[in-house]
Amino acid sequence: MANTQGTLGEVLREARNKADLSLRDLAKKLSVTASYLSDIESDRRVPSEEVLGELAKMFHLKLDEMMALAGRVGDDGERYLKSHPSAGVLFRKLADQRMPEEELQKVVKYVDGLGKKKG
Amino acid sequence: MKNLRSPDGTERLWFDHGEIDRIMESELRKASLYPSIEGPVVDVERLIERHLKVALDQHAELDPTVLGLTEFFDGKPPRISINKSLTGSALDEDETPPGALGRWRATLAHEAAHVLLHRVLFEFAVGNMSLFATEPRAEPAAANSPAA
Repeated sequence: MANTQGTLGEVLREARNKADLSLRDLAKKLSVTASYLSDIESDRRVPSEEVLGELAKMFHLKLDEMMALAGRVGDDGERYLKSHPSAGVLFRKLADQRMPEEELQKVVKYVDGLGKKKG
Repeated sequence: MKNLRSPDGTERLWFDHGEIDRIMESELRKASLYPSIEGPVVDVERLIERHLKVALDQHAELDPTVLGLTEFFDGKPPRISINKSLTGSALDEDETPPGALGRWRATLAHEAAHVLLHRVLFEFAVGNMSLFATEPRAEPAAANSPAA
């Protein structure tokens, strides 16, 4: 995922406009208030994992990328971090080294490759 | 559109009424939003978001004396912010106070007009700044609608 695509709010606002939905149309579909969605689009609030999942599904966006933009690892991710301290160490090392996006993408591809071999 | 010198010596942008009408009618036609018998009410949200490609924040935390605000950014689309109290009273409450919906629509239209008529001033300022500045512009240029 490139960092150039914008904030979570910008990505979701663009997706809503491409889908030709007004803020209130989308709020009705998701059974949330328009002000809540407006706060999300303006990056004043971070959506719940459930709402983010619904938005990703509706707009055909990758949930992993949306979660990353939201700064969330998800409930499963948090449980994994707690039960595997090395995962936390890995994250801190990445942060300490201020690893650039292209290097991070290599790590993601490597991890994806490990997952495929395992599967 | 022309520049006029005001009494204090500064240059001001000037449009006559007919010119403003022509610009607005032309934009509404381009956006396929020109009022008709079947659709007499202009969808101002659609005009701003889909046609002008402006980020619209209808629930912004603005000073109570400000109904709407238009900001221009270098390299990014403009943003229109509408005071959340105004949007709330116009749309979200069970009983909309008389006139609130009209005031909300008029504020959206007013801010859309800033984008259409005044973007040129910002673009001119950025173009000139680039001749002198070495740092990117940090603060957005803004125009607002004071609450009456």
